[in-house]
Amino acid sequence: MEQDDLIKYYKILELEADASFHEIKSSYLHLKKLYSSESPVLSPIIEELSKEKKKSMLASIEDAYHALKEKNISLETEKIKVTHNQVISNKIPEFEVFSGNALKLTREVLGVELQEIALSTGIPLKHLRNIELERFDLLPPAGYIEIYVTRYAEYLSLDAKRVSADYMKAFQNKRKCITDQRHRY
Amino acid sequence: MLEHKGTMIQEAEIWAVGGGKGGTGKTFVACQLANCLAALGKRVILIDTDFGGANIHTFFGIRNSTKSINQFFEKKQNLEDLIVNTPVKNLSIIPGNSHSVSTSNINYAQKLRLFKQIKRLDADYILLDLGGGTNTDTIDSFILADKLVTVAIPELTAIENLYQFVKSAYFRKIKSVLNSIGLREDAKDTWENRADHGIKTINDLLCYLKTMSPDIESFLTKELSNFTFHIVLNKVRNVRELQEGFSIRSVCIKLIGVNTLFAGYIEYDYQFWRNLSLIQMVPKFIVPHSTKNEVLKITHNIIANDQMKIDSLKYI
Repeated sequence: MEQDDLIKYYKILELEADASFHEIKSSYLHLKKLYSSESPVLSPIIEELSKEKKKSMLASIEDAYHALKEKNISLETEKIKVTHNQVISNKIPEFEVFSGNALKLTREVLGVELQEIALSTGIPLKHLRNIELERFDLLPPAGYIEIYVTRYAEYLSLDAKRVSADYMKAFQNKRKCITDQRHRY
Repeated sequence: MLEHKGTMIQEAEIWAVGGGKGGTGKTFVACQLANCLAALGKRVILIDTDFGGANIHTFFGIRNSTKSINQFFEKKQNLEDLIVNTPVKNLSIIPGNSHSVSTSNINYAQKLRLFKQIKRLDADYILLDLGGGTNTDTIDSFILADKLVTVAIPELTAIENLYQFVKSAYFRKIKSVLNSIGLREDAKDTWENRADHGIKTINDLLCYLKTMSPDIESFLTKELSNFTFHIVLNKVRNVRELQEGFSIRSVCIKLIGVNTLFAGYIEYDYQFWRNLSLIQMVPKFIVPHSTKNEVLKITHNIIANDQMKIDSLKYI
């Protein structure tokens, strides 16, 4: 991609050239929503915004996002591969049983932020946080958790099957306790 | 720049705080910014240039001050003799007149004299608190400043007036830039006969003017590249209203065509105005309260020409 094009795309999305992919995505979603709605912010200036202009603006926003997305995805995957290969071999501690805390420790050794994982796996940030803290009362039904934990473990290059099996065992035990308590009252 | 005892004295940086609508908290924001700059160890002078409705002195609990900016116009006193100290360290003000009943109309020569003297004041930062509306007095003082801060609130009427304000300031700036190369009339004529040229917006006007000659194009681009608005969104109650700050910025950039930065927001403070009398004002204002942190961020952003990041929205 040409340098001039890149500058143009960042400008369309109203960002600096050092913006992260997260910023690119947020800005894209915000602009798309703004110019395809009847936002009160637009209403005072609506006579300067014809339908054709709206359409062409939305199209250029779309183009800019997809171009920058492609560029960033190739960059990001390379970065992750490199960091994983560097650290994995020597630093990751061995765990007997994989708990939420084990996931957290592994992640911290790899130096990955939760927000990064949320973005690449599509798991909501609050669920990731609650998985690590083992706040089972705040998590969605078991089926979801199993998928989330598997994806999270895959992201960290762990043995996903083993991790999710361990985690779900702990989850079932805890949930049984909670329901038992409820029955008692 | 002045030569003084072998060291260079930096000229003060002038910040103007304006915005179309009244009641958006321009004076509040100006006072808070001045407070933060003073807390950062800068010497600050806050000038009340809201000639028709001055009230900065009230924010600092100063009553019956004998000095006011009107004496500068009426009695030709020097601006530096009108400075009043406040209880805040590093911060002094030049109050406006709340007793005068004749609202003064100031001519262009007086305004230039005012700005000449403002630039000579001994301080690091000079803040101007402007009045509401888009009359020429306000707009002229606004565009002469180094940093242009506009205050808005997430309400339809305020947003509407903000656009009007930004447009008139931008138009006035273009005119004054053209004036410096002797083309002032061209801008005016073109705008008055805009229908003939197919011009609808200021952006169209600028494009039209740029086609006149390559010299004019490069000159305009150069002169206008530093012309930036810093938006402060006041009285924000929730994330949806905060998003409007980014939307306003987008409209200013894409539809009006002017550089705009969203410096930050201030949360609606339900407690602040409750039971607020003059005597309570002073301690309440000096003691940090909930908005202080937000204003500090805004201050840093304006100093560095930076802005809020859009991806911060999700994690508020």
